[in-house]
Amino acid sequence: MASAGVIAQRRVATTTHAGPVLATTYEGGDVLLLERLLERARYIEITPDTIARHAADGCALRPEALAELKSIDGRARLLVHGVGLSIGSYEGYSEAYLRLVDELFSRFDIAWHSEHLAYTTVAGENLGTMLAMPRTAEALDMICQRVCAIQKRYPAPFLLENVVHLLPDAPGEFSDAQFLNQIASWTGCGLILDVYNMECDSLNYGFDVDAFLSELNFENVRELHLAGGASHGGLQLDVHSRVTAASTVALAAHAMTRASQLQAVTYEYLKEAVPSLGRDAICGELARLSAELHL
Amino acid sequence: MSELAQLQNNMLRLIKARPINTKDSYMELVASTGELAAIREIAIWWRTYQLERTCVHTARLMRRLGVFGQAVAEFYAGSAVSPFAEQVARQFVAAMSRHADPLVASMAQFEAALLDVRSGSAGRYSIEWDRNPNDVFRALEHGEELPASEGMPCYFVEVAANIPGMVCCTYFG
Repeated sequence: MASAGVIAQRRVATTTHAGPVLATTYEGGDVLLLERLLERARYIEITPDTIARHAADGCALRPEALAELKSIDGRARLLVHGVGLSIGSYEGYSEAYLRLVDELFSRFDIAWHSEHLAYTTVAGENLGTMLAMPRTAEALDMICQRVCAIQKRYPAPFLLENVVHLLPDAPGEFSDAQFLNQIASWTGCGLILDVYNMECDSLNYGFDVDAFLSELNFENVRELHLAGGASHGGLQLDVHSRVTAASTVALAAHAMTRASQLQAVTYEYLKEAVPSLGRDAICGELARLSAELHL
Repeated sequence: MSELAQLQNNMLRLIKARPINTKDSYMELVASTGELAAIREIAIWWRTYQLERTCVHTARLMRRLGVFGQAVAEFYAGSAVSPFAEQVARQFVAAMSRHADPLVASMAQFEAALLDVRSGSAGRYSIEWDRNPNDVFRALEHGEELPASEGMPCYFVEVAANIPGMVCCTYFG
């Protein structure tokens, strides 16, 4: 079980909570889209990994991307949502990724930051995919210690997100919800509930969404993620390339009735999907989610 | 080694299609699933997609030669690929700079130099070609037949920030 040393005070700000608002992704390089997103979204989610470039000492944020973020100038707050931290890698998480987060925190007002409860790197090698953690006491203890270290490093709340399970679960001692509940309880971090990921799991291997939601402590859920994606080889993929399905919106609406501390509902899409989706469809999706979920 | 370390190292080997030395029933289960093959396929698809956008010239040439897909798959399986797209491009062109086909090697060296100079390097890079690089680019652009090798390096391409247009080509016969 986790040691007492990993127990930290709750850091997720709830004092100014006034109901969830709309958030969405922006990965840089499309100022016209950004301007239109800012008409709808109160938070803009950025992924440091996707706005980084090669630098002499590793990676650094692209100056042009920083200029775009600066142009937001108070019209929305920023959410930092990572892919490359790899918080679950046994050998340690990515310091290169955290240096990018350091830079963002030094330049902007970040409302909160987050990462996937997963690992993407093993022994320094990138897997090219994101794998769910085994839900064991060893993994729980390690994750909790790392969450505490991250919370000490940054002034804003830190959230962890449930990921899709593309492979069979490794043997473990906790259910999905228990694992998330324990991490949040011991560290005080918040949670992102990715509704689309739950649907992928349900479609791919019959994940029991109702049982998961019944067991999850919704007091820790600060953000919902919504997306739409494609299937490949019989697998529903965590590739955010489409608008949100009606079933995903309905599931989100259900979750929202229980998440009293929810602060944002984020529609996510990949930069690579913008040409096929189109700016109009993305902005239309924000309008639709805003109306249907009363954001 | 902890159980977590053992599990993750085995998962790495499985995903990268490397042999694992274990009789672990969970690993046997994962190895037998169709999902593992799908994950590999998707990972390679993403690397291919990234590389086509970050090392445009090398990818286009290798596609034309029919060796790109296999090269990406081998690169993914055999390398410690970076999580950062731009780094992956550099790793890929560095690996392809040693390709057995001298045309691929020259193109990859040329693209590596371009990436360096565009990201602020003040260096001057020289790449030898065994055929006229202008003809190679023209053939790629217009879907024409690639020029044949002239037998030995006879063109010299330099890349530097202080060269007008960043690139110049010299024939030295």
